[in-house]
Amino acid sequence: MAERITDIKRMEIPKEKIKEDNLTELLDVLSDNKEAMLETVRFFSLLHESGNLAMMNAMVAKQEHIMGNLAFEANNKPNSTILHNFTRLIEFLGMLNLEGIDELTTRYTRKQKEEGTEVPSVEDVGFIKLIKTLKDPEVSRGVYILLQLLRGIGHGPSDERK
Amino acid sequence: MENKLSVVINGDQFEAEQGQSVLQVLLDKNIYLPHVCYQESLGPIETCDTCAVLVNGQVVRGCGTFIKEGMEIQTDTPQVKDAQFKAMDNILENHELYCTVCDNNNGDCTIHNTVKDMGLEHQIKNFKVKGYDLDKGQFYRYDPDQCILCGQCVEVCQTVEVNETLSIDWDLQQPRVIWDDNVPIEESSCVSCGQCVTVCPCNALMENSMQGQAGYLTDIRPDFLRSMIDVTKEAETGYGPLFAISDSEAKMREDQIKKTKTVCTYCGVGCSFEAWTKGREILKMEPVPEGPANGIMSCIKGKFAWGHINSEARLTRPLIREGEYFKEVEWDEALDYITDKFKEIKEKHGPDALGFIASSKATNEESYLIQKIARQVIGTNNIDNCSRYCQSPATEGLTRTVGYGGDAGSMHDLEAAELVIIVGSNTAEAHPVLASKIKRSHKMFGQKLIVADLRKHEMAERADLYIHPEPGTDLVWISAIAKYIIDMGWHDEAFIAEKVNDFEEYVESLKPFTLGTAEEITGISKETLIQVAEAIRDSDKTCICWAMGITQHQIGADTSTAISNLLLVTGNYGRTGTGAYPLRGHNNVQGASDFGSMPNTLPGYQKISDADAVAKFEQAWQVKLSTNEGMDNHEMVQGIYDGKLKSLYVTGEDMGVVDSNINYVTQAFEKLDFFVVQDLFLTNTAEYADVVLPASPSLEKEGTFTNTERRIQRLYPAMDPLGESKPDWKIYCEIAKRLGFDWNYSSPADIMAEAAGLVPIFAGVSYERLEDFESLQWPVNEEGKDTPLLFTDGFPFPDGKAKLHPVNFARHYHIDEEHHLHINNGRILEHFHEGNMTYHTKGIRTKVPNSWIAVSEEAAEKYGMEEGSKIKISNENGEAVTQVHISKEVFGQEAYLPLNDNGKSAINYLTSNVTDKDTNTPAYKEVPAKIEVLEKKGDSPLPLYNYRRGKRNPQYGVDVQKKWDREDYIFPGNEEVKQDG
Repeated sequence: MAERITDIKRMEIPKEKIKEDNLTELLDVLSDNKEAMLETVRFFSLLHESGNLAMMNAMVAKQEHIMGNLAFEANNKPNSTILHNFTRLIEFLGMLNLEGIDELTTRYTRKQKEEGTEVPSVEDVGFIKLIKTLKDPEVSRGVYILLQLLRGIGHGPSDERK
Repeated sequence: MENKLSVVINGDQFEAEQGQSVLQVLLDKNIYLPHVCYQESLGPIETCDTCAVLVNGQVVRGCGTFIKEGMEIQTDTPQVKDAQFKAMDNILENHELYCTVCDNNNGDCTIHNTVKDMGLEHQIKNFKVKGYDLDKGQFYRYDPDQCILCGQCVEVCQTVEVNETLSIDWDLQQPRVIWDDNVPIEESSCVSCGQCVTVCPCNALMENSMQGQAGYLTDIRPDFLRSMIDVTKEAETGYGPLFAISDSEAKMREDQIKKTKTVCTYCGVGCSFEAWTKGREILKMEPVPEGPANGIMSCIKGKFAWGHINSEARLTRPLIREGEYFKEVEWDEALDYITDKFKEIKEKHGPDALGFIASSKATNEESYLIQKIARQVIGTNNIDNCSRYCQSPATEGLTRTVGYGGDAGSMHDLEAAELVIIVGSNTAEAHPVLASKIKRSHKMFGQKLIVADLRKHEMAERADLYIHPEPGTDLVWISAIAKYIIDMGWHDEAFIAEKVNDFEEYVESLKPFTLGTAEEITGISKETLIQVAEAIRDSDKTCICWAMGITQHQIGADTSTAISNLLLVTGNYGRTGTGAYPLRGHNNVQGASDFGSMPNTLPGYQKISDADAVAKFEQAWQVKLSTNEGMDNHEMVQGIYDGKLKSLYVTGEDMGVVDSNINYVTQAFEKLDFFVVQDLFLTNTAEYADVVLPASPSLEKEGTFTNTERRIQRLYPAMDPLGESKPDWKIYCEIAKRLGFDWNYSSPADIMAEAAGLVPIFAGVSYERLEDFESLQWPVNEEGKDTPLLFTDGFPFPDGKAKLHPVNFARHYHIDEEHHLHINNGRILEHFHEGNMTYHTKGIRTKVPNSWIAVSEEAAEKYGMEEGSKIKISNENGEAVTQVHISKEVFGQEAYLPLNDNGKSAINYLTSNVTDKDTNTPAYKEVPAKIEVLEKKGDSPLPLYNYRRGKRNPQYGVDVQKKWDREDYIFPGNEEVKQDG
């Protein structure tokens, strides 16, 4: 005759037994990974000696606070603009065609050397002379490049697509 | 080849299948075309526009354009790239990329991966918030600001799950996904199947259990998260570096998130999932397209009801009864105690004084081992499983007629049928994923649906024809239709002549079943019966599904037989889209019987009366086996009263709640000399035990389950057993060893190998052939060829012919003046069975904290009940107390009491010892009772946040035309001219 019962008397495992089991498990892991553990101990020892371990502990303990402060500051102007511009600058550096610029500079200086003259003064350049100069294929090519540049500047942002 | 077409892709000629979209062809040929809203399981939705492609000189959507002969397709022209980038830009206007701190950054985020694959570095249109609040339900949340309005969630809700809750309101100034007519998730008709979350290509819809858990940086305060996102956006120089970091973080997550293939532990559909776990924490259950039974589909239980795994109520050590309490003990003590008692009882009373009950929740290998303990170790055939409570009549009805007691085909056949008839099955709640397949075929592909049931439940609401027979009279109308079909000459004479025996005797037996008699007995008009007969005549492929509404009657086996007879005379066996489908209730109720936990059959339904079969097992097991037919569940209870059964070992079955007439059953427990229960929890049944052994649930062990389609699937351990609990198979091995049989199995694979060697229908089953999402549907020959569709080469009888089995009818059940209500009973969607597992999930507990009785408006008025009234229901077997829910689903004097309660409203206080005459399955569905109103006023038992209060919003998918018709929409491929698709 077994009547319905609902109570359970839990097995009371002595703290010493739990401790012993945990230690056994830990010792097994330590033993299996002896070399790695020794390296790890040395690493932490070095951090401790240099005083960095305490600082790292504190930083981890307060990480949300620290990260919050950093994020708050990073989002404030002008910091956000600095961050933005900095990354854009890096991106811009990646886009620059330095070889092209170099070639342009070389062409300009080479032309000057060929003519052996400085750039003439404004007074010396009359309207007729300016029009006549357009006939020079090099000048007309330069003007065309400038016009292309103006076209690029005038191109609307909505037309851009990467 | 007739169905092959020739197309030119980027200048090269290819062959493609007719009916394929351009995107499908490109995917087949491994030619990259971006796509976000398309996935094979859903087909083209055409909302994202990222699959823009040049076809015959015009930019079109690749997913929605179907190939034609000679079509010229270009995927990489500047025009195409420009359109794709514009489309993605429109998406990113709706979705903020903060991948590293996003819980969806797990390597499978469609948006992330598509942006990366496209090589997109910047977005031109800035991200815009939509101005709607985040909506959080019990199981998942919707973040409108992350939603790209691709509509996959809508598509899956409307056309795959077919619950018809989600839509996109394209008429809003800022469109968004809405639930019903724009109510919060919790107030909607959402059934929490989770499929919308599964198909969401980003983090707009996400399981609550994933939030803040998946990533290393995702569990941070919302304000801090916002700052982090802003910093990330300020600092980012393009998506390349952002993705490099987030991809690295996603890879790091693999170190802490484990993905394990598992098979659902609830109903018989057999959904498989990837279980995402972090230690013991379950992050989510993820259905995958490779899932052979369910694909991307799931239901509330399979997707979300896993609270039992880590429940504090789990047993973690064996318990031994000691006076007025159970004492936790070490395994050795419990097992020694059990084996000593088994030996003592066997010596004193003989082996047949011990009984064993297998669990339909446990694996096939575990069913095999417990019957092996009974037969080999103890020497008795007193072994049974819970199919005795539900499906034995169906098995009997099918074995009699077609030879195999299982579904005739696969769920694929249910999808392919022209006509599906559902009888006595609340499919949408009891087998939700299977029901969705039928709902989808019915809604999308013109399948006809007839439902016969006492309740006008969801499937009945959706049916083309709903019929309401008097309780327990299905045999009559089914036989009357068979007779009418034969009388009209609509039967399949050729099929019968070639493949069926005993036609003449059967026709003779049908004589009493005239339409007139059927109308009189069942209450279904002659005209309606003729309509059903005509529907079967007009359908080339008919399937009939049934469940407990048929089997749990005194004539359950005969009614199942009548169904099979009807299918035979109409030639509806052995072809795709035809056959009988008894819908198995538990995840492994099919397998529990298949692997031998039956009192009259060895594994694989080899009869113990078959000398050759017995000899084969005797040789393998090296013992003389008993050939006395054992006691079934029902007989075991009676055997206790008769003093024949002294010891009972029940595994994973709360008999004290789920058996009929539980007052009678639990009193029997008290009379046992020795009682062992093995379970996850201290169940009502376990409370009577002398020893309780802590077992492990599905996620903690290896094995296989067999679903309703006879499909065997492997499950893998996602985590170690909790505490000192053990998988059942290991417990059985230890008990057998202590009793002198060292089986020495190293894993369940060894057990399956042994079973396969002894059971012809499993001959080719092996763990290697069941790797990951592979599956086999028995019978499986030695070469590993399985049988998704049965009877294509005849029936498993000596002459290969099926047998028509005549049945007759005598009215056996009715309500009377004293017992004026018929208490129908069964499952509800949210809970499984009595709720032993599902109540451990908080969200489910919140949505359905207890059961209720659904009564008709007519009965409520007649007996003075209101919504929330507290009533007592009673008969000679006992009484139950519950609250009233007035429902339009039930009629007249019929009420419905769900079985998801193990307290005062448990239905089995009212069920009786009456059983099916052939199989001893309790007649759970024959419950006359009287009611007494205890308190007229009360709160509704149906919580406010329950899907039954919602209002569905049916439509055919996402209705993308409305998007295209908006003034602010321009197809990116042609900004000058609108494309109407």
